[in-house]
Amino acid sequence: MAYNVLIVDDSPAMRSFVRRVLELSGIPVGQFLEAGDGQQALEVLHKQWVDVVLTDLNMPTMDGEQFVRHMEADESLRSIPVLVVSTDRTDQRVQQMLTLGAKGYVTKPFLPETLREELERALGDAHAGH
Amino acid sequence: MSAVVVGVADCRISADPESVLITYALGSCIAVLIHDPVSNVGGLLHFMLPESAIDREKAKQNPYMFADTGIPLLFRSAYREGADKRRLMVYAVGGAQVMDPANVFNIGKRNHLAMRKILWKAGLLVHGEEVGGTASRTVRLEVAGGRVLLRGAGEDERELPVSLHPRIGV
Amino acid sequence: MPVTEMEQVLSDAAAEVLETMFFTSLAEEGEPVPPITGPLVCPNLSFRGPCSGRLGLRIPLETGRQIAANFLGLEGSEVTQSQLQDVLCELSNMICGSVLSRLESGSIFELLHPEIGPGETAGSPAVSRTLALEDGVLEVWFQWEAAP
Repeated sequence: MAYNVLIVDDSPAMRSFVRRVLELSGIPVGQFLEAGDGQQALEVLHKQWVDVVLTDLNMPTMDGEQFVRHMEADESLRSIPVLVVSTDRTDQRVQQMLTLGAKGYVTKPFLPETLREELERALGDAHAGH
Repeated sequence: MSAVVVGVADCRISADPESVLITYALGSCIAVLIHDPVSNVGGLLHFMLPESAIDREKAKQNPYMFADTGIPLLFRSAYREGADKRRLMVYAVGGAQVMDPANVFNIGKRNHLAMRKILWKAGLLVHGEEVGGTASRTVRLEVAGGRVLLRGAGEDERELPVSLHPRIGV
Repeated sequence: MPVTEMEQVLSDAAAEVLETMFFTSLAEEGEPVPPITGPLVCPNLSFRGPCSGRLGLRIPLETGRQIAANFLGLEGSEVTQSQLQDVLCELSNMICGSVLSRLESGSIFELLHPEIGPGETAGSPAVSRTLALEDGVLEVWFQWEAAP
């Protein structure tokens, strides 16, 4: 069993960091997929099997909120767990994204171990959904 | 069970299931404890300071005094005894904010940060830690089974909770 | 907010971000702050929300290289120019987020994509703080613009 993970963030550095956390955490990753904004992410999701999505919120072209709304509105994507990873730590935003369907929310800056734990929880949901 | 005492600026590795590695009086110092649950190899490093650049001579005499020279040695010694990096559980205890003889505050915090930087660069995540605060701590690692038990001054001994589990062979 | 309080916000926000994800510690309090000299890397970004403004960093190249190496888990010599700029842009992004959450904890802001600038801000910055790091130095500056 290996997981396909999609990371959506306009910062290549951030995508590298997340990739490294995944590699160090022992979570078996099949494919590590990347997208720079919500629009690109939807294109990836319509072409590839993805088990979990990590997404930033502040991104050009299509931001994270719009992206998650699109995922929830699409029957083929709705069941894929989404973890938000963002600098925005307001209660209002966290609640909004969880209500929209995100399975977890990690605020930047974060410890690698924290991201690992949240991913494990989200992947637990991935197991349940399939 | 036989206790193997690890002193300040010291490091011990053991593959003996009867052994318990133990270190005392962790103030601003940090104990890095590692354990391979398959080969049952355990190690404990007790380091005092973050960077060896401040005293290269001392680091040559005793690399275990510093995080940047001690931590790599801890791991390499464990690999020689049969530990596998991919299986290693890694723990950290200590780094309290205490007045030390040189009167340098925040050494505990800087030790912790130095350790995190070195582990990240080496490709390792921490599976459990108790750092900071103001209390001095004692910690021990049971080589058979890998349990980590710690105690703050005046407290009962308790087990360190493990927050991450390595996913071996999934 | 008085200038010194604002400077403390910049300092606390930068410390939080640098220590958590960039494995970089600040120098001890009371240690002399080195001057910002030499070739610099200057990431900056705008934010919009109940108020708008800009935040930026001025970082000597060597300090920036070390910070990028720490973040990526590499040696300084292995960091490419592109990685350097991208990591420092992300640093400015996170510091901005942390500053705004300390100033306006209930408000949602949009942080625009950071970019590398020439190092001079348009007009003088409202507040800046130079921070001595264990190995280097950097400056954080912050500027409110008019409310929308």
